[in-house]
Amino acid sequence: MKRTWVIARNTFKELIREKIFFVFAAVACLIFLLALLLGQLSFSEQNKIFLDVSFFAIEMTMLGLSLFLGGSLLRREVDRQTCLLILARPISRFEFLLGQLLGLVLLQIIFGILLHILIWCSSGFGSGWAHFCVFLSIFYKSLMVQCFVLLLSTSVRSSLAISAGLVFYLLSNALNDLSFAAKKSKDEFFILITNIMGVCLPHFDQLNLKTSWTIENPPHADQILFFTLQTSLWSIFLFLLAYIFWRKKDLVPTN
Amino acid sequence: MDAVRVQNLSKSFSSGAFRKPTQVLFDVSFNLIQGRTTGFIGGNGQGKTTTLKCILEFVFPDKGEVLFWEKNLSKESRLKIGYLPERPYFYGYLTAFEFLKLHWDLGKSSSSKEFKESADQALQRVDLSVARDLKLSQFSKGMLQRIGLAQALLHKPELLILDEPVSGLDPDGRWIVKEILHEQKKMGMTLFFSSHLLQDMDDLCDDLVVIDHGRIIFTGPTAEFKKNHRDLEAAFQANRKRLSK
Repeated sequence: MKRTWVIARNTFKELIREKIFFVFAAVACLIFLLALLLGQLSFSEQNKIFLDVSFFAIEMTMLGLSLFLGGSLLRREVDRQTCLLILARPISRFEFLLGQLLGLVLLQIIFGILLHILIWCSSGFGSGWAHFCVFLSIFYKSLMVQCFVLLLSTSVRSSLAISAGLVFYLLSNALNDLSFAAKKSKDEFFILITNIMGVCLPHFDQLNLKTSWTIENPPHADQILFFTLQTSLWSIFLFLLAYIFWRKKDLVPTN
Repeated sequence: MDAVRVQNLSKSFSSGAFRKPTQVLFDVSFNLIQGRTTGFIGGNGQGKTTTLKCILEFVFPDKGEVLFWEKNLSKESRLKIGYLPERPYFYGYLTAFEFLKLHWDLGKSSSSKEFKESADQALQRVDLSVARDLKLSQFSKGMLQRIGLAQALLHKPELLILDEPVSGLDPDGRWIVKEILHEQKKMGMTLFFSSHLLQDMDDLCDDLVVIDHGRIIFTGPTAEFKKNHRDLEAAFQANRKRLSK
């Protein structure tokens, strides 16, 4: 575990210096300012508009970090061959992969919590539990996307892994809508496809807590526990699949 | 006793899902004798780096096996191996000392006092004590190669595997790296390094492994390879044509 932590710490230090991280942090701050301005334009819904736009900003930037940093994490190590020096030491590929993932997770947690604290303070110190639930729902989604992108990046190019990660996020978010549309259309093939997707994809629509409504009506602890369990199972499954591909991967740079 | 025994390694790479794989190694076999310095000679693209990667399991061979001290590669055997890849890329934001700490922490657990002693010793050995707190992004190519060597020597390994340790270095850099290798050789370490700079091999190596188009064409003492030739360069040119046939 110590070696995994060493890799995670090093990955975190590396990612925090990435230009793309600063770009997403800047975008989050810009949308946050925009949310403050938009809120002021409203007659009686300042806080609601501010919260909705801010939560949207956090979800988009955390999704962006998951896609772009998660998609290039392994590819960069292999292309630069930095992983050779690390893997020459007595560290298994499992520990290395887990360390890389944990480094990015750590970055996401710190980034997400800082933004949430900012929103919590700016919105007049509402329910801490409710804000925490919103943070968890956004974090869980980005964690699953991250694991999915990591899985793909063991076998395909970063650009393809990032694109597929985005499709994974969009489809997982739209499962309910797609299922509804399929039932309305009465097309058997469409219904079959949405049923298959319902089994093969995590239900992000259940995790859509990023609204001001959640702040007023926070979910119960057992609901959060269920989401935690669901996310853990999906993340572990995707991570183990990623490990199966990574375990026997030839570490040669792409031409 | 053999420190490393490489047996019948074969490896193919496919450049696309529907393309025919290209075989780059053909039944590569050789032994590295404990305490001796072995040079791995071959032109560019002949399979030197792939062989080294197969040995350390960065690349998985289609066929064959590699034994370290008569056992498969394990965490225990990795503790006894120092490795420096060709043209290594380092995390530029780390200082030399932090870089060594990272690699120390990935090895066996020990006290920070022990690390400090080993790091100072390794930095001194590669003549980088003054650059201890300098960021790696500020290092020259020669300095990076030396800090890479310091990393490989940090754990006082029994076997040192180096891929082109002097390629791309200026004469001063080459001299320093060669001096370090000479020093390790005198201390009885098993050295295995690849190069296409034959003069360096001539000075350092007890044994040679020569690879050509993915096939081992010679393995044995340097003196035997050089027999009847004025130097290694001449021997290589003459023997390669003869042995490749």
